[in-house]
Amino acid sequence: MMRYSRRNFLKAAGAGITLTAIEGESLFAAVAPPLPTPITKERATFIINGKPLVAEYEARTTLWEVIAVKLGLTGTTRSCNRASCGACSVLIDGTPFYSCHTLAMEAAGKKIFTIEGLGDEKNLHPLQKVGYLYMAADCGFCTAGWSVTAKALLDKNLNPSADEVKSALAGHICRCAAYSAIVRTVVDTAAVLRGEAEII
Amino acid sequence: MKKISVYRPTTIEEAQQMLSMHGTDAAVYAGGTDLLIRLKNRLKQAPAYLVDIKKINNLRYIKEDAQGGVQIGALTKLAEIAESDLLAKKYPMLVQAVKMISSPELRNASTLGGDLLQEVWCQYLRGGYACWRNGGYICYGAIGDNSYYHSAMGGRLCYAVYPGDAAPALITLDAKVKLATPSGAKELTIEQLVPGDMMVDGRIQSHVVRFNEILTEVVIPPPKAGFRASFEKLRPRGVWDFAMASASLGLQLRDRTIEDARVVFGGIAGRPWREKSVEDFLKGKTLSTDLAAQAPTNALSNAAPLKYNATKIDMAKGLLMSGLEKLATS
Repeated sequence: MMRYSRRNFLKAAGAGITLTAIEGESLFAAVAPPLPTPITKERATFIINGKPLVAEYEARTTLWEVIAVKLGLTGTTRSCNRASCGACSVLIDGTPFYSCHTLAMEAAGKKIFTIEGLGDEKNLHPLQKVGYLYMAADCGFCTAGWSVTAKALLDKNLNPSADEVKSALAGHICRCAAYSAIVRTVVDTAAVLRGEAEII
Repeated sequence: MKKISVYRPTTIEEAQQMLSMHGTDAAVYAGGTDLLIRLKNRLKQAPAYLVDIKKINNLRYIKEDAQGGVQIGALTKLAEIAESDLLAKKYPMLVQAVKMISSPELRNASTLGGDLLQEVWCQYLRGGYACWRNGGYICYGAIGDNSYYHSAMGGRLCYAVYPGDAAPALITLDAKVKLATPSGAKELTIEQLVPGDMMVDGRIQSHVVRFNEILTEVVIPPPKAGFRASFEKLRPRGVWDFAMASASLGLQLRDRTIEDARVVFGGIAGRPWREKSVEDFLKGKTLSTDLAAQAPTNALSNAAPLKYNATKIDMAKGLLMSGLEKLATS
């Protein structure tokens, strides 16, 4: 510990004077830049199925929580919440992502496509009609997920083979094991969309 | 999920400043496929501060350099690598390996840098058990159920296998990585980058990247004439899973004589396991299906399997054989 004696005081004062003399103006000019502040809360617009919707969320909020809890679009189901099942898939700018495993801030301002955008009870998408006929949805928990991923596949490729469908839908688990029906649905829906087949 | 605060730097220097400010309480956030699970399960390594480096815009590219090699930015998505025409032309084996990683949706989200530096996928660690990596003093994998993702080649503290598929493939291609550190850029080979369970900054991790360092680029040297490579992987479900065992082979051929060989096994040890004894055996021999049948007898003689995972060694040997057969017949 430093003692406040006259001698020490003079020493320190002298040092101060020499420093000022050497450094000159730079002593006063050096101002530390402000520390960056992290984001914990945000408010952003999500363009869900063409509709701009505003939500406020924390940094830790996942996209599924925004879509289903904050905005009330409950068609997208969350099952495992660990990116291990695929039930929660949505399209962000046309690319499939697991919404339970994407932070909401990643999708802020982007175009999101959920199962609600595919079709409703009065106006079913061919994928839903064919899937209904083939019983591709047993319990229906995984349906919202694979339907949008299949839509993304059909947007790119209107003539997918069964193997292409299998590799595109590899990230979806169906607890009822309706896999063969799902693959058949997507392959035959492509035929309907091409105009080569008709739903009776 | 654990409460987090997110920084969005626009330059690497800024990102390093933010990482240095919080020490090991901050982590780089890119694709988040691995990090979010750590946050959701509230593991001890789950950071409270994320540094989102996706706003740094010069880290996502695949480009050819003057010598004919390829540079891949660390933020390049795995899906972009899988669909890249340039890589498919030059290194078809890397594209084949990346196509086998995880599921299509996760490949859309996860980055190459994140795949190289991912945390192990031991069920005990991910389930929140207090193991070596999670603040405890025991490896549950070594004494418990180790039939899937635990080392069959021994271990130091943590017995979980290194789960990545890109790393063995890149070792075969002799790739290097560039790190941005506070004291300047650093270049490492992939083997130096992921040497198995290491104590770094007071934590056990598979890689040597410190808390304030950022992986920026993967550099692959130009493909040589006569270089043939293959990647084989076994998964419990055939898709989506991590490798039970994988074998990436690279052969430098003159006519059908093997001049140089690289044999790297993945999913059997805490690091991508380079098997020098098979490499030495293959050198100077003529590539044929007979050689493919002989090669596994020299492989993995120093294996030390745990109670339930001796099959991993058989899988790795089988993959070595089928990989060599494919190279011999094609």
